[in-house]
Amino acid sequence: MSDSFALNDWYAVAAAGQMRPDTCRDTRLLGRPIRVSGSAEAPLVTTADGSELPAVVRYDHVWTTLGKQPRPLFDIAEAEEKDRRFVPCGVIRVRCSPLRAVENFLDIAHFPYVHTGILGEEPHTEVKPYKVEIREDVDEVWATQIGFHQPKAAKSATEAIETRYEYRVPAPTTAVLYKTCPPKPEAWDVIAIFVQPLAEDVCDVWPWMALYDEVTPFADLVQFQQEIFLQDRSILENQKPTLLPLDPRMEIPTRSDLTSVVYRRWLKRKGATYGALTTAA
Amino acid sequence: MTTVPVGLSRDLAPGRVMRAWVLEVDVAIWRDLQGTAHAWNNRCPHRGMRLSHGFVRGDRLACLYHGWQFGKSGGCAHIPAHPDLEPPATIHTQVYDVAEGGGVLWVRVDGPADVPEMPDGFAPLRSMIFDCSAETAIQALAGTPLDDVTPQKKEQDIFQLGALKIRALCNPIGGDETSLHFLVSAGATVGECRMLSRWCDAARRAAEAGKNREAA
Repeated sequence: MSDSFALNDWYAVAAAGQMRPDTCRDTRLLGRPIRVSGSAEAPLVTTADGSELPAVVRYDHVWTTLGKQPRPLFDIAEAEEKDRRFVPCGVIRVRCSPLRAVENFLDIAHFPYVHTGILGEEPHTEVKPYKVEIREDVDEVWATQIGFHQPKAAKSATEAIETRYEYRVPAPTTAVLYKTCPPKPEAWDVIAIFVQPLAEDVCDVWPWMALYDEVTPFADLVQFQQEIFLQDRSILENQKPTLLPLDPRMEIPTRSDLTSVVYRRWLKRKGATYGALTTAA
Repeated sequence: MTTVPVGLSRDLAPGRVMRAWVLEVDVAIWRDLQGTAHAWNNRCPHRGMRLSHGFVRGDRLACLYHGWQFGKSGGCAHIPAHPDLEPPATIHTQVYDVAEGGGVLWVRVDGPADVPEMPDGFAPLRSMIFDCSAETAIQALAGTPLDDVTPQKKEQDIFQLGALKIRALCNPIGGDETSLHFLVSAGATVGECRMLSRWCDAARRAAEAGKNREAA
């Protein structure tokens, strides 16, 4: 286990909208206890010995880092588009590696089996060829030109559509999805997961959305995403080993796993091994 | 390593999957539509998902995560994401030997399953997990009366309770837990089976209480 890379990333550790001056959130980050307190305007993150960590609010969450030379927090340009609705979807505790949670989010082939009748359904199981690359200029993994038949792509979807997807991995524990917006097909809905690694084998997942949907009640949007993530949790807590294997001999991919293959390669190359198994068990 | 009892044949219907432990090994056991049982390492070779959460399609076990189907030999037969692809022969589950005898499923993870001699005259009763060692479980069974009748231990795992015999097959599954599979004299009435089932419950309470006393 090495956390030297992970220490210098930023992590969402609380929902800004849940901050109250008289309460605090005691949680963990990379195995270390931390406390999140203060307000959304002035958040405070402290370690067990009371020392203060950097704290910023972005994308409706409080972000912090443990590192001495943190890499900059990534940009999500759509967060600046004022006509979008921004929907923090609460938190889901999952007993798995933070990297397994991200990898699952990048996978479309499981939709017909895990999200049956919502994000996929038999016999529409085929994953057509798509493109994956590491964009060296920004050091991010991108998967593009993905299409998938979806019975109910979003709360705003009224019928099954061929949904277009693009995935972006700006940091090892963050994944951003751009997908066809059912009421506005020329635009992308944005759905992200910010994964807070409590330890190598347990994480808090903070889903966040930036949508074009002025109609659906907030609670229904959150409920839709919560249902999806709870379905994913039943998978993620039953994968063995709990940590993500980076040795290609341990798990056998197929063509539809290209995003996962490149994600694993990218992690290995960077030394981003917190939550990973680096040697064959 | 040895052959261990993992369940009652009756409890695994065709088309169903269950999870079992063979010593420390996590195992998925499923029965195909012809009635043959199969025991595999409980891990899909694709992304490590427990196959005991999967589902049977015809004569294949499918993984719940991506629907990959594995045939009776354990080889991958279908990948739904690529319906036209013939899966490479290298994609294979780890297959263990399974046998059935005396109404019980037996599995061995390091060689051919060897069903022990099973005395005639028994029928399946139920399977349970006791949160204690096999030794503590057997002691509790011997020490738990049924109404006023004290069990007479006949052999290692056979108890006489009045006119009925009960056999308790133990499978220690690690973490100080024991999976037990009970057989009862063939011909026991439904009422007698119900009574014996309650006796099993009482023995479990006694076994787990005894363990807690030791811990305290």
